[in-house]
Amino acid sequence: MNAVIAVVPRMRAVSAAVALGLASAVATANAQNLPAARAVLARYVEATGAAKLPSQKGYHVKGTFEVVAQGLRGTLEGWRDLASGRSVQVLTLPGLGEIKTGLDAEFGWSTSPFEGAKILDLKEFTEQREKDDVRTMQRDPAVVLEALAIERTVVDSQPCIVLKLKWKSGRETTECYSEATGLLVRSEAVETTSAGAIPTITLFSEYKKFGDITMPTKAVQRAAVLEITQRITDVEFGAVDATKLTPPAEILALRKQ
Amino acid sequence: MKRFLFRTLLGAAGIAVAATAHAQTTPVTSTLALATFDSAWARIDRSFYDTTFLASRWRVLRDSLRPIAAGAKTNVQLRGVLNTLLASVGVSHFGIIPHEISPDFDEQPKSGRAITTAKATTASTAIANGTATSGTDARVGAEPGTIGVSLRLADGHLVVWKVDSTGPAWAQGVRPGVEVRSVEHASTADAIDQLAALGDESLRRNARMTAVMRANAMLAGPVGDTAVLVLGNVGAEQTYRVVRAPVRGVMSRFANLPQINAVFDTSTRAVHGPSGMRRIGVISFSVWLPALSDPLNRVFDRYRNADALVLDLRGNPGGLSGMINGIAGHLVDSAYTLGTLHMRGLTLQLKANPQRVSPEAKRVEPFSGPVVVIIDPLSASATEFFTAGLQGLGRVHVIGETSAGASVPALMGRLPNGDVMLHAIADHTDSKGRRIEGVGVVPDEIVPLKAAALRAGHDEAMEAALRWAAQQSGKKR
Repeated sequence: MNAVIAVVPRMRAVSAAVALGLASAVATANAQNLPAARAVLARYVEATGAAKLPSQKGYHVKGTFEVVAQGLRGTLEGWRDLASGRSVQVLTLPGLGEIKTGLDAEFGWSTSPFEGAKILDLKEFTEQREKDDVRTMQRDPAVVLEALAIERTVVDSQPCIVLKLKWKSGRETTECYSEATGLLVRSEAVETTSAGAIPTITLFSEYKKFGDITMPTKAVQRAAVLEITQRITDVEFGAVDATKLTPPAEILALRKQ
Repeated sequence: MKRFLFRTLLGAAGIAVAATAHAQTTPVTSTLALATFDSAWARIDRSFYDTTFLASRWRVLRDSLRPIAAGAKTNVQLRGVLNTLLASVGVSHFGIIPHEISPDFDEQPKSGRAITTAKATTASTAIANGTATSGTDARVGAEPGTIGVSLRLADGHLVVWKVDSTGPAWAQGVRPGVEVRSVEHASTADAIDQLAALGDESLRRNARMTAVMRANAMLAGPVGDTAVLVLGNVGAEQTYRVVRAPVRGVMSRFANLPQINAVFDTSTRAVHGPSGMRRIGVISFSVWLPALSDPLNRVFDRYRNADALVLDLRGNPGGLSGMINGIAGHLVDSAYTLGTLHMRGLTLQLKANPQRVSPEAKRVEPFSGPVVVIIDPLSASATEFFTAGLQGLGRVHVIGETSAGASVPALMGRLPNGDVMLHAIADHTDSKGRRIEGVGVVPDEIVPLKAAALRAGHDEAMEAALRWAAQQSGKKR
């Protein structure tokens, strides 16, 4: 029953992706009549409106998540300051309490009732920071070092184009963008966690527009036999109260040498 | 077929009879029964880690049991078929938790103590061994009660092990060490005698421990109801009618698990050792549930400067295994691997998270003194992850009796008929690569339970633990 708990904190990755999209690439031509990767990604940026993100100071997101195979259901709430990249996400589960994860300028952290306070190791922090980076959302070649269009396939009845991406942090992802809408529908990655490397597949759907930004409100992440469904119900753009982004006292104590 | 066999034996021995007295008889249609059976079968087919077993037997089992499931007229009958299917796997953590004792969260009342079950203990003990069956007594809305007695096997007989000196059984004169002839009119003594005749050691051990769990479960019930026990040797039996009082601790629910009674106790013992009087902290807790995280963190903090610690995990059936990372982190100064979970297509490590911050957010160091863990045959699952992990690292000294050997993680999704299916999804190895499932954690120092010692007022495992802790606490580590 517990393995899934090890994965739950990593839902931060999905959350970020759900909230603001996940992808990037460098244009690459190919021999199979596929569009160049750069063109696919440019279309994605246009479809989501991610280019308008810098005009926002931050966001506050609310939603729910569920692990059906465990009967786990809870709420999520997150805050992010786009300029500094600082963020906090809180998952609240009945019978368990709050699992908090956060990214600060120089470190990442988590707290939970079952594991206590923890500073993320450097690799995990670097990857999380990259996922939250505005440049990631805008598919900036500074963070996406390589991209290749691989093939056409179908995900949930949607024809899509598969891209293979290599990121500055060293991550590699395989992503599928809808031919009809240009939006991201599927992503495969290996998540770095304290429990080990976890291969994941995430399906994105039910895109909605919040302000100028279009984002998926449903993400289903699968890791082996585990499946986590996350839904975003509300996104509010604007300045974020700095107190929401301050790490808890136990994390600040951990940082003291 | 191991589990199927001993479940049958238990039924034949009469242990399960009392437990099924209040079974629900909700009717099911053939369509619902088949959907439930197919869903259960498919989930295990997708997730069980032993693909060799699945390849060789799983389809055959489906083909033989599916027609029987189609003929089920009630949930009780359907659960019987499902339990036969699950028992065929021969691994712990397979079982059906009836909807009646584990309703969906949305069905819980808005106030009061939430949904309680008359057999809260049944639920907790059943989790590890997958013995939560259709027979579980469930009275939704009843406040859970206890008579303050815990039973164990000693010298081959079921005996009163612990009696809460503040509970109703103690007030009526029930004391440790006396043999249990029957519980709620079910002849436990005869049943356990019959199981003792089983030739296969592993089978005998499992069957008898399941019988002990069931007997303990029968002691639980709604507050105000009366439990009937017959205690004493043949020819000198005495009947006790004990009215159940409210349970100690808190009733806690997590995910699809039923409500479970979470209790922790702590005390400080002063024990003479080679270096003089030693101050030893003793901590026991009944289950690994987040409801106990904060109190446990505070207790570990309070004992940070103790000379030694004793963790009494006898009877702890497991729970949320992620908690072992945090609790072990009170005892180690590095992110040691406590164990590994081997799923299909995924390997996860259980890693200690060294606790370097107190509940008051002060920087501290994990406890570095000697630690003893006491276990018994009802210590299972997360308790085994924890104990074996730290034993393998050489961090704890283990005393008591070999644990349950029910040491795999499981999922607990809801089936179409509303019941919850517990099913193992990963094999587990400890910090030394040892497989604990089916074997148990073998103590460094075995201290068997003896009825005579209990009658004389001795807890020999605890005494051995305190002795070892006092001797070690003066040594350089």
